[in-house]
Amino acid sequence: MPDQSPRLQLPYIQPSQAQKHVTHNHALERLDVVTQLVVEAFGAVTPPPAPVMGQIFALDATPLGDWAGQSGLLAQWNGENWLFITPSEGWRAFGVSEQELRTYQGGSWQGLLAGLDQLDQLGIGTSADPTNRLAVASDATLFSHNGAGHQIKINKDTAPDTATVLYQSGYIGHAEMGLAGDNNWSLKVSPDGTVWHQAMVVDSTAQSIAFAPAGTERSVMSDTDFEINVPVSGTAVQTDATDLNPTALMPVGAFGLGATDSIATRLTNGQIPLGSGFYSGSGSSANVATFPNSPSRYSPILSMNRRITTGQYQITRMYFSGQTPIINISSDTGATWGTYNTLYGTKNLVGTVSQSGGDPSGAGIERGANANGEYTRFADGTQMAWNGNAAITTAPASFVGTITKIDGDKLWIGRWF
Amino acid sequence: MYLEFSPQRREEPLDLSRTGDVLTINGTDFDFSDVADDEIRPSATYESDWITQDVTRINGVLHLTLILAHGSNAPQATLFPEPITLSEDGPVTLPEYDIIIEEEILI
Repeated sequence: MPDQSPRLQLPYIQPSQAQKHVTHNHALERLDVVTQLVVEAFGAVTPPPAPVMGQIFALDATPLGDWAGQSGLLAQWNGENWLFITPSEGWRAFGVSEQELRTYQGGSWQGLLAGLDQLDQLGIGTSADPTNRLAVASDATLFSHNGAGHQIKINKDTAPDTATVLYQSGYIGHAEMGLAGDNNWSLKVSPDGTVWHQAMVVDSTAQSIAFAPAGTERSVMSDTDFEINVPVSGTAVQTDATDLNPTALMPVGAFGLGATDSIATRLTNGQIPLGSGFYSGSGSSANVATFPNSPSRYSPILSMNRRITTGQYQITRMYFSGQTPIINISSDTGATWGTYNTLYGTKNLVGTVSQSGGDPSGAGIERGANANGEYTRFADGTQMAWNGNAAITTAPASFVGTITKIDGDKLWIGRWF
Repeated sequence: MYLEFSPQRREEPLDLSRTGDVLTINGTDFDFSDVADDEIRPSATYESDWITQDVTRINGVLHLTLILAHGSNAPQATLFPEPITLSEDGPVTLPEYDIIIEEEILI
């Protein structure tokens, strides 16, 4: 018969043995260590300076001091010295400092949970069920890295299956994102958990991103096109027809462009600086001083700017007086304006000639006849008069200065101003 | 007073007022009371570009020819004026200087 037990190496008392109590107590010592095994710490390296009787440590592979050379053993302080016991495969011990139950496997103490695998279900703080086989009730769930990055993977079997994250409020779903029935990423939302609409789709095949805020596709962005099917507003668009923000989009009517009804910007002052564009006058008679003449107060205006230097512009502006275009220029951003230049055409080449300071202010040529004969007056000041084939007695139109009289007063040539 | 007119295109309209034998032409008084019957008084006497022909008096009635200024769109009555006889004092109604063409205003 062996002299100790096979598993715990407890010494047997031999027949007729003397000092039986020694052998018996030695066995009890070992039982005191290994029964309901509780260690102060796993992987202990240095013996405590004042160990309490009965304290057990599971030693490190290379312990120091009184433990030197006792690699991986259990050490109990019996009040006088350390009792060392070799653990066996499968022993269980509770670590006080780790607050963890471990088993002795392959020469080291390993956490019991290290072997959790192929569980049917797991509930943390709540109960799992056959559908939700992993359930967690917690303020937060942390998935952290193990030195670098971290991925959470949601895998489905085939394309028609679903791999999504569903957001619920009171167990009523309101948002779901992921691969819902196909292999495009989509975001669905619901006000009540019953009616759902697809608010956003990132199509992996078509390589497009579609937005449908209320279920109807309103915007699609692809690699080559950005389609928007609702009116654009906000700071990306001009706030009014004269908004000079260089990055704002222009709607119809901006600077008068494309306006078919009334032009959005009507001016009471015909000489204020404006962005290049089409405008219209709306000045009262009190404002006529800032327009070329009275009819042009009510007509469309074409305004064009040329940059001279930073913040300085030459403004060229065309007004219309009926069918007559009138052009004016300011070379100092609208601070001062030159005299108007009227264009001559079929409506005003012939008419009433007038002048202002020597410059034409009326038609180019005037023709008239009265009891004293006929005359032609030119905008440059030249005037001719004749009286049929008879001599002129009184000029049919007034001359100033010297008159050149030809052929016995039949033709007078001179100036009218 | 018998007035004949010689029409002429001018910038300044004629403004006429009569007080007996005194004519006020555009603010200047011209007194013809010293023109005797059958006397032919040269126009140069009056140094006025409104009076371009001689002044005379026939059977006690003063005969004058004045320039009638008109604009570019004057009516026929102004371009080919008829003589007028003044029997009363005061402002003289003359043929229209010009026809003002209303500005075409489309609002």
